[in-house]
Amino acid sequence: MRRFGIGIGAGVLLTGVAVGARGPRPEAAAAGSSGDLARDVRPILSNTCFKCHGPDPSARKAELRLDTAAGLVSAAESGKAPIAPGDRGASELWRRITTDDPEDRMPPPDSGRFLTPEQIATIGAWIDSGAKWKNHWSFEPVLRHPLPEVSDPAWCRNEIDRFVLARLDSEGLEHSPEADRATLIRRVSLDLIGLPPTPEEVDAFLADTAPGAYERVVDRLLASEHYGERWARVWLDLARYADTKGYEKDAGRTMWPYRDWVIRALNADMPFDRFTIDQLAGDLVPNPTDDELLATAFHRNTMTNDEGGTDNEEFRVAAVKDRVSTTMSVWTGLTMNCAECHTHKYDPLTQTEYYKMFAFFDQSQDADREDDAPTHAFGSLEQTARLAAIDAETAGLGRQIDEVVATAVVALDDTQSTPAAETGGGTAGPRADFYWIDDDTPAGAPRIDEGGLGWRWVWNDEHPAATGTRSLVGSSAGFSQRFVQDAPIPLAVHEGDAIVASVWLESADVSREIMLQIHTVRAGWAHRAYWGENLLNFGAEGTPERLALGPLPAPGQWVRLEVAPESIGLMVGDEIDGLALSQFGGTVRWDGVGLSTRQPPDERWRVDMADWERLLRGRGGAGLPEAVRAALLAEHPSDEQSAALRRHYVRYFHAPARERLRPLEESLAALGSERGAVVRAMVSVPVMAELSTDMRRTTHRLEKGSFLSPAEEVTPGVPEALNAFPAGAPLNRLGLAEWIVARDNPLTARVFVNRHWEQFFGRGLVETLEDFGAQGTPPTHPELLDWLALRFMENGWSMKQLCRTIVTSATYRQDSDASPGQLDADLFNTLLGRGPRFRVEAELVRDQALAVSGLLSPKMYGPPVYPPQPEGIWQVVYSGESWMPSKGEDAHRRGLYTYWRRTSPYPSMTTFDAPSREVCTPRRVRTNTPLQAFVTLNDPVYVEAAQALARRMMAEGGPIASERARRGLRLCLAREPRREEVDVILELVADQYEHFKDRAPDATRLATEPLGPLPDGVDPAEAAAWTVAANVMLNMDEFLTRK
Amino acid sequence: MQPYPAPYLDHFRSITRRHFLGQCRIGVGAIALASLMGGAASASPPGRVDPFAPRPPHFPARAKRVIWLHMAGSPPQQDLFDYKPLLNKLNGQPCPDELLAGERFAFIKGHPKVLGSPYKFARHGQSGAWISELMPNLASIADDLTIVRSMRTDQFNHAPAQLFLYTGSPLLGRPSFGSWVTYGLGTEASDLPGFVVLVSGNKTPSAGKSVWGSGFLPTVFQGVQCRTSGDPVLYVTDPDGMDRESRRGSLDALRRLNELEAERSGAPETATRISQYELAFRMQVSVPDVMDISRESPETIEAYGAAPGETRFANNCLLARRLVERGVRFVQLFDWGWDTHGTGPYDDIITQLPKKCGETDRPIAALITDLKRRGLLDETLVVWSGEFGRTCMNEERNGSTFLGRDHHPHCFSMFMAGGGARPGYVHGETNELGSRIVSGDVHVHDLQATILRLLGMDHERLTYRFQGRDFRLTDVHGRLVPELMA
Repeated sequence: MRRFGIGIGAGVLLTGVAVGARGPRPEAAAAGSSGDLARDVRPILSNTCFKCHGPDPSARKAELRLDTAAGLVSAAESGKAPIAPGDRGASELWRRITTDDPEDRMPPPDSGRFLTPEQIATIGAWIDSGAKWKNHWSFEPVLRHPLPEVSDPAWCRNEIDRFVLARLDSEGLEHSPEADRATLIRRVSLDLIGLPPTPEEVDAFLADTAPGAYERVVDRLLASEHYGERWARVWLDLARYADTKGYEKDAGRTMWPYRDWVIRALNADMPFDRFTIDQLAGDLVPNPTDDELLATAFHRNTMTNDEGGTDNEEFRVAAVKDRVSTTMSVWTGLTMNCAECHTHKYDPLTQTEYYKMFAFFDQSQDADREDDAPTHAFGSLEQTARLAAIDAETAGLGRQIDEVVATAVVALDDTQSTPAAETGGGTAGPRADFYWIDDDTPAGAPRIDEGGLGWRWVWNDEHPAATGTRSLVGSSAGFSQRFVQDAPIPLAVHEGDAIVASVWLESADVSREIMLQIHTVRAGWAHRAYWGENLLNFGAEGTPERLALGPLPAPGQWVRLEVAPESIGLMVGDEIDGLALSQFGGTVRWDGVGLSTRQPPDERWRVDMADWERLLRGRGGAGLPEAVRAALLAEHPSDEQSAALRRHYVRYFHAPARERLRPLEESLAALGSERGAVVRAMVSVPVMAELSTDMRRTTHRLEKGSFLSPAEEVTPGVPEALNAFPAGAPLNRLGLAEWIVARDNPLTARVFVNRHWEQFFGRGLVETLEDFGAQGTPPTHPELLDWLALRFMENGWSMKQLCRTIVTSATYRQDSDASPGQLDADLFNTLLGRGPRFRVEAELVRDQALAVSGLLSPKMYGPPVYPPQPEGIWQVVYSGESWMPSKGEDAHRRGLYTYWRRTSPYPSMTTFDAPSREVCTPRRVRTNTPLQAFVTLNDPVYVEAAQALARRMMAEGGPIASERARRGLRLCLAREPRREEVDVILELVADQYEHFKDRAPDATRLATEPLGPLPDGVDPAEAAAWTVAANVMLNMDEFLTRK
Repeated sequence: MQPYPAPYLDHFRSITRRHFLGQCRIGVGAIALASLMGGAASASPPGRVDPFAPRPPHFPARAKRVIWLHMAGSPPQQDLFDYKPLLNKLNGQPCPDELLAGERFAFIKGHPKVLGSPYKFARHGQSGAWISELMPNLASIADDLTIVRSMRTDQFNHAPAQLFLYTGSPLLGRPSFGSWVTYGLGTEASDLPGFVVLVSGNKTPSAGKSVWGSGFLPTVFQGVQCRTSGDPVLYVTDPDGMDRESRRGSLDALRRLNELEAERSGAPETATRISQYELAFRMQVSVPDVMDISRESPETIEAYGAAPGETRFANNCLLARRLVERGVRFVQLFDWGWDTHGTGPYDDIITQLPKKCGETDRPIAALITDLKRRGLLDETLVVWSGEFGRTCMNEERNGSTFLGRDHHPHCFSMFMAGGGARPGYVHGETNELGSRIVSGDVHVHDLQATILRLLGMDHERLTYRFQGRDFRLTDVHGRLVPELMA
């Protein structure tokens, strides 16, 4: 057992993973059918020799290469060629693997690798037979093989059976009879739609004696909408679909529309080539539809790291790498990620080729940003129409604005534009508020967020704003703040002004302290006022640098705060160019932050163009758009630059123009606000989008995979060992997708049909679904694999047809019960001499319990749901998020709709081997543990199902106990229960009834918590006894198993 | 609905009892179910071995079990074990430029100032180890400790650094230390999980449950989080209203049904499931039993500073001893609250650090002493660490006047006790500023290799084939540090 590093014996308690001591080994199996020595030798050399004598030149020893035909007969460092074809005695390789001299012996005794006597014999026979070398099987084209002759042609229903039976014949084994109809309909229902058949569906099938009854069931199931739900589960493991971003913060993100897209695509039987192209490159097809864009969310399921202090580029690169390894793993079954740091040790994939693949994905806009940009908003027809109308109006206003700007007359000594600071301004008259932060921050001032609050603006319709149309909100566990600084146009302080701000503290999540900080050109960050506890330790306490202004304002309402400028060290004439809003904990809303002043607000912005330029030059043009800034600072501005500068001045500062522009801007703002409301009502999903041509990145090979060590530049390209890039295809993701689904790609179809096969048989024809390379297991039935792959492509890549072909085979329809003889000959059923039997997957464990108890909601699609889970599971750092259990039917939706948090997946599903979905998971292992027993025995979800099933048995089974037991068992197992099984249930119910009849409170709790009160007239002791019986049924091995 | 008439019930009860006791067992016995249920791995069906059956290591093991105490957030070594008088001399002065060249900090901006330690250090025990006044109880058992002052990591953010320490990689998806160990050695606890995790400080660690996940190893090897409130293990408690008698009755019925299925289908998996349900039944008693620290003597509870019924680090230390006593292979404790940046009293080294030390110093010393007294320390390796070190500069985030230190990957301190670690030994040295290692360099992968070796395993041979490659805890690195082994 080399696969386990130390003596873990003949495998572990897993179905479908361990290769046991008995049963044919796949390599031997392959040899048995093909007699192909070249095929047998390759895996032996790969496993034992390639690490030092394989594809990786940096690891290669003695200049000896054993993975190519040329290498086998070329002289190595020693001057000797390893192989003399046809003559083992003259072959250096033979001498090295058979010598007793520890100096010469290969593999070296201290390498931990060795060859078995059988392997050595195989190598010897291969050399003698001419040492023909074959490429690794999966890199060879998919071939059409003749159908083999078999011992029992009448048994065969389609070509699958010919290949399977021929193999059984060659091993002297027999096939099994067909499973009984009840077993068969349960098997095919669970496989195709992930739900058990109802007793009525079973009866209908049993009663249908006409030919083709089974095929009619299959067609009904393939047409069911639940087909898409069941098969989406498989794809979502590959797509690493989850509802959160991963890493430390693991905040939520909206991905569920992609999940729904997968379900719809599968139900529509979208051809797999289209399915592939849309997901990899839907944004690059001409005029992409919303659905094509949504499909590209496939590669936005990569993780995003929001942790403070992380390098966005580091995690952007990590996401791109994930796209490379996921793409290759999903479609080609190759472990391309092994070539990230060095050339692959076993497969012909170089490190440069890894980065050529990387280059395909390196041009997408996403860059580990907290807002997950780029995103695309998906809306209803009405929403889309309204957006188009708004956009048209907006464009019209834009044109009017351009016209005003173009026609304005600007004089350099424009007397209407005297700077307010120079005129002084009056101190009489009423004060008016002039807001600096209201609906937005001052134009051109950089915004900084510390502590992860983000700049989240909430519109009026979600939460009333104090001023304007939206307010700023943020929640934090501890210290956090947002600030603006280096505002291009500072705010001057005048006599009698007051600093004002509106604040709203959430009652449910009250902050401990809030603080307002002001930055002036003169004194910097030296002006602070705070309310509440003294936790934010900026400046010296009790001075204008940290002034206490009393307790926190009352929560649950807008409170206007006013601060006298002099109390925090501001002097008349001071220029405010930065402002910070700080908080310690809680949820705080801010709005209308600025000055209350007698100075007419417009006055302070009236400067003439010369002054304006002077003022801005003094600050280096900070905050201006780059082109305008360049124009401002240019010593000899071009005409174009002068025009740009003028446009900017007129647009934002020229008083006469401003008066004409203001109403237009107000209309624009209203439209913008409405557009925002419409878009927010739509769902935005992260999608793929290419950078514009001027922004494209250059891709480099990364030394040892480190983003800090770029080496030479690389261009997009595909590995040489595989099919050629399609002629004329664009050198981008679209071309890559076309290459993947090209008919001469030897891997795509094989990998896909193998994965489907595994879903139906519990193990793939190639057991290592995730590795079709040299280190994977060779196929047990290579010709069958090729036949399925060809048929799949020839059927227009129809996934439903593939399912149909498999489930209508006699191989699939066999009885799964095993005789001791069968177990002895083939413990893991590698040769398919009996029907498949394995424990159902995590989602199905739950879906099935809900289905048979009658609780399952048939509702499809939509945002994820939160079925009950124990308290305290979601203890996540830096997040106040909590699991609020869904109410009503959402508590009983299929498992695929459960909120998937990567750092804390739904616990009972994890127990049944559901992955975290942090990365692509091509294969789930199946374990069998006592913790699983706890889930199905005691998890309230299953207790509730038992209660519902008990009530169902009592209601549908009538007054006779045995009829109730029969009903319950039929619901769970589909087949007619046997007498002894009914007897076990009856005895249990009787015992439990005895137990509960004097324990009324216990009985009531067991029968009603959490499902709810019993129907009128039902005896709690009786209901409790049947609840116990239902609990047993939901834990039966046969129920948890699909046989 | 009418309750059953009693004679009817009695009738079928007698029929079914007779049926099962008379016939069914014999049939089942024929497929070796009986021995499986006794837990003997050797009688399992071919190709199926209990993954938790104890397995012999590569070498004679010095440690059979591990208790790993993780101070999540990372304690400042300068204030605990790495005495640096020069820092106090330079306290408040701008730090030397060499500390800034080429550095990335999580939070420090500008040119930070040196921060001396406000705590007094003294030498303790025969080894003369320098330990600060914050850890008086640990100081009193200095000669039981192996202190390493020259630890080093590659990561300077919490989540990746924790993953690095426990999985050998900063990225998600690799198996954790405890998973590797139970995969390699199995466990000696027949009624308890082999790898148990206990969390205190109200937060799970930054890297989430991945630090005790099984990665690509089968999920049976993932850590089982035992909780001190609610169910100690998820769903271990029978439904409300069901007592043990009722549960036993239901499991008996379930077993009969499953035996019928096993007999009919011949599926080895069914036999396994029957035994797993029996183990679950036993765990329903053994888990709550081991988790109930009120069964300890008042003296023991007092020694640890534990408080039955609460969630606190001291309770988890006492639980750790109870768990290893029963043969649990790997007990992992996480205690949140050591991320002492100094942005306020809740995370500074003046208020928060003494508070955390106060919560942990006594229970850890009590744990080591208790293990020793019971003769368990020789074979139990106790490990104490954070995920990285902290800077010798004051962080002063946004002008904070509270004292604290930023993240620092280049050196940190940890200690071990028992389990073949060399007692009364201080390893490695950092420079006068405590910013870099000058001797005795121990990289995280080296520590992993060394701990595996103490457990009798060769880190290069403890491998698992996944996606075409043999993976191991130490990735492609790691070297033994023989000085740390007794």
